[in-house]
Amino acid sequence: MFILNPGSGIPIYRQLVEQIRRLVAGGQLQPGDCLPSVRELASTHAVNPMTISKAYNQLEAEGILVRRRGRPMEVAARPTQADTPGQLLEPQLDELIQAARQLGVEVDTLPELLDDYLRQLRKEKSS
Amino acid sequence: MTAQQPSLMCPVEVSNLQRQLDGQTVLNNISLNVRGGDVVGLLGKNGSGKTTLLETMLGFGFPAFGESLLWGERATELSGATKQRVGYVPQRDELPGELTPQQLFNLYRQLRPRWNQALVERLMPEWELSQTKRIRRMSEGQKQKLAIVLAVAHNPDLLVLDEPVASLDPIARRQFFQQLMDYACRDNCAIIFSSHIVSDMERIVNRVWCLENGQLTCDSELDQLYESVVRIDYSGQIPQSQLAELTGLLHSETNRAGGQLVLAEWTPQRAKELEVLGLVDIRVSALGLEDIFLYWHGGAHGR
Repeated sequence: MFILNPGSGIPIYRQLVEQIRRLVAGGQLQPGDCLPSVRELASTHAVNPMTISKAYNQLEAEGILVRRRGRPMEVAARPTQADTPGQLLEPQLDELIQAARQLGVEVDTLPELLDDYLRQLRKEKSS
Repeated sequence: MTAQQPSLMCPVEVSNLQRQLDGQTVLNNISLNVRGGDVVGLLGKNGSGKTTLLETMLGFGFPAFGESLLWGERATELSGATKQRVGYVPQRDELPGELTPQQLFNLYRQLRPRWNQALVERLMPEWELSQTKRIRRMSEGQKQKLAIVLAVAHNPDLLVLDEPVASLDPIARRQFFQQLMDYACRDNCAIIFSSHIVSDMERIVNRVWCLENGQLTCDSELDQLYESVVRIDYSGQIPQSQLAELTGLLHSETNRAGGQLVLAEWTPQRAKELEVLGLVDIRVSALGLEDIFLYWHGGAHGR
């Protein structure tokens, strides 16, 4: 269900938090949907159970998940929409800007480059 | 409820531990704690004292100074009941080659009141081990798996594993860690393991110890380590002598346009400090544990 990348230097709980946030923001996880138990995730992904609890606790504090006694974690009825899908892409956009700077590409030209690239992708798809 | 008290105590408390072997100090002034629920990874180069630390912690040898307590009892004088709460997988297997696993289980079952035969019956086929094959005919990997089954079969509250996966293939390793994490879900159970395979460690530990020449050079939460040891790329020409003053500098190299630093004790507030030195266009990136470990031991660390 989740893709965890242990060598990346990004704490695994943060990877989990981000992926669940994205799934909720993108609608793949709907209000009332249940998440796997800590134990289930810990043993399928071979990850420390504390890491998973930490991720769940953070998402609960953010109002994205709710905990009910004796039941699995659930997506909140109205998850706080603090982050729009666009905001969730910001880390990737930061990376893009950084790479552009390293290459000496003017940041102002990025929208144009993206347009060109999308057009190219569409063309490849249709041919 | 005095009977409950011991289970709430720290599984491991080591203070000022020193150990000497053949007149040489192999462990020096080590203090550390393991709390219930901890999964600790012990990292260190060959010969840094990892096995000696694990053995001394468990009371297999007497420290020259300091002490190791397991649930408040001195490790070298553990009561029978407390001994039953420990599971240990040594680096080299000490299994009797002439016996079969089945014969060994029958023996162990009599010595271990908390023996969990159901777990054994489940793990043996899962790990593709035969109960009736003589141990000396098994491969190194099979023997290692069997040693692990023996160490967990009495449901210990503290599980200590010295290089448990060295002989296991990637699939067996993953199975082992899945089982181990299932195990870690039990209340107040603690796990300590040493390994060279850092990527495995990153998945499963919440705390990291680094041992160097018998001294503990790092005792940190893994997540905190990720945030406090970072790589910094910058532009601008700064004399190396000035950079050397930086707190926690592990590595520094320069190129035509700027350079690269690896800093420990990083906080985002320290960016200001770098700007004052004249570094511009500062880019901070995270490091994996393997890199952190390499810089920690190979870099010009100012500690």
